[in-house]
Amino acid sequence: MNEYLLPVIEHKEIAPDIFSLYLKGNLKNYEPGQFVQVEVSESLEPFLRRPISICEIDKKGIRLVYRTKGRGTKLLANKLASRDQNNYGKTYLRIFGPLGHGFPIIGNKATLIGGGIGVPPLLGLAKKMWQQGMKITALLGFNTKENAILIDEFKNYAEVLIATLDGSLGHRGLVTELITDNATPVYACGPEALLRALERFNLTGYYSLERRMACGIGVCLGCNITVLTKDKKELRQRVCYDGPVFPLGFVKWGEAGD
Amino acid sequence: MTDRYFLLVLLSGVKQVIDLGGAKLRNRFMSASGCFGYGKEFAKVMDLNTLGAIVVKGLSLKPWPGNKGVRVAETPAGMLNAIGLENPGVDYFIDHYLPFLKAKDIPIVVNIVGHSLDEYIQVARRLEKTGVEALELNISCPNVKEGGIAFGTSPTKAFSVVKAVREQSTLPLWVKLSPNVTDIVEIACAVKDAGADALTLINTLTGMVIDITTGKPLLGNVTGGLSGPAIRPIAIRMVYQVATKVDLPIIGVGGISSLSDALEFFMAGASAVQVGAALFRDPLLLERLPKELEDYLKQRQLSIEEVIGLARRSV
Repeated sequence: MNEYLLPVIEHKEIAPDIFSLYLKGNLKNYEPGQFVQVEVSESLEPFLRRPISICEIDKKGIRLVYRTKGRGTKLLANKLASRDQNNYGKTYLRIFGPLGHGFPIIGNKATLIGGGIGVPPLLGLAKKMWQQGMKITALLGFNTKENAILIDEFKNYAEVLIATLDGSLGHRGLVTELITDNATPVYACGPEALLRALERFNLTGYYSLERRMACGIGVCLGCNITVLTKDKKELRQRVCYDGPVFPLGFVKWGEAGD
Repeated sequence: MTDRYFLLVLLSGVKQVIDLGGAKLRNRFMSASGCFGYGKEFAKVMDLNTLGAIVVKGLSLKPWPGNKGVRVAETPAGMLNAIGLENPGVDYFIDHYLPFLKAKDIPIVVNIVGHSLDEYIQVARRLEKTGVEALELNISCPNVKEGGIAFGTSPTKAFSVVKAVREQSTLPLWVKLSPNVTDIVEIACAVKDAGADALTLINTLTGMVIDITTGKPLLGNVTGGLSGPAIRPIAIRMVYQVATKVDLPIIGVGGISSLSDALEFFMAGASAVQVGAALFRDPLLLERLPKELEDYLKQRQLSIEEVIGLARRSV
């Protein structure tokens, strides 16, 4: 991990309140599933950086796809949107990373399950698995067709199945309804309800968690959770440092950090 | 004698040694307890040997699980935390973290916490002859129900816990005070009378945020400790007040995110400073500050002694 000051080379709204941001550069030792801490303001307000997952890294640069939800991400989007298109490359963003542990890749096939803004980090994973010659199925869930993102890009690497809650695109209903018996191993990222629902299936794999974070580097313990080890012992883990990826089924939900 | 003299000259030439209440520091910038873990994570980020000392996260006798629910919240120019002193216990620290830290070239200051007077004493005893440089007695954590701040908001209780630890420990004893009091000078005096070697000012201020979508307190612990730039003027005021009235070295802490912030603390009367929450937004800050101070002093042809307490002398 390291501190980088990188030029913004692209920033566009790809769905309502969802932005795709490209930074020129590379991150050494990046694993799909990791994140970066983004400085949204050079002043001390807002005070903390924003943890944003890495969507992918390619020849063009580092891609982050984020949703504007609170003060910090809205400030970031407004700041970048207000820049003249011709000035891309002259606007810089300070990031720290890559942080946390990504998805361990095992075997020769995988099912990627993403929900909403949990979809972006799975794209870099799909690409890496595809490069390794794996057979990949991507099950992507969104509220509506309007919110659907990155589908065409996933199609470069995976067989893609879509679910929307209102049926405006693909299967009408929950993304978990697309899960087949031979889905294992699964790699999931999305809302907590989705991750918890996966535990009701007979599946193994990994899921990536989201928690409020302050430091992002494992020192403040603001994002701690309890996980159960294989021998059912409780273990305290930091989502930012030991995670955000954990083995499916091992998180003790409803604990600290919720 | 001669050998020792040369050794001292050599040491002071190569590495500056600063005495702070009997503890020897490498420079005047340290991590603030709770914002640096036990050093292993930051060792991947920065060169730990650039620290004046490492102050590790508070340690209790047995492991503490900390608080449930949401633990951190951003606030205007700062943050609230309600971690609740989650820590692996002093014995785990001695076995698993101390060897790693001792292999580095930095003084180690251990922040200690307890639910009871006896627990403080036992933690302090465990750290005797382990090679740590000093103890920082935390009598000011606002996020635990028993102990912590309960000892730091009453002069008589503060006196009793400091005196008890003082009698049981040969290590330099720093005491970290709470700003959640009407008169911090009164507490500082009691702590000095009990035998403290230095004072760390200040811990976090008790604060609270409410989630207006649920109508409930956001933090699992309901209240939390406020830190960051928002509290700096309060910390500066308290350092200034205590430095004026109490003859003990002061370690200033609270909202430092740049050299100019640190200079304010020095000018108010602090001999050294700690950096905490700012590391979360700027993890490399502590690596830069010692050099920046050196350059500042050189440019203005000042000694640090001239800067320390400057604001008090000019009033």
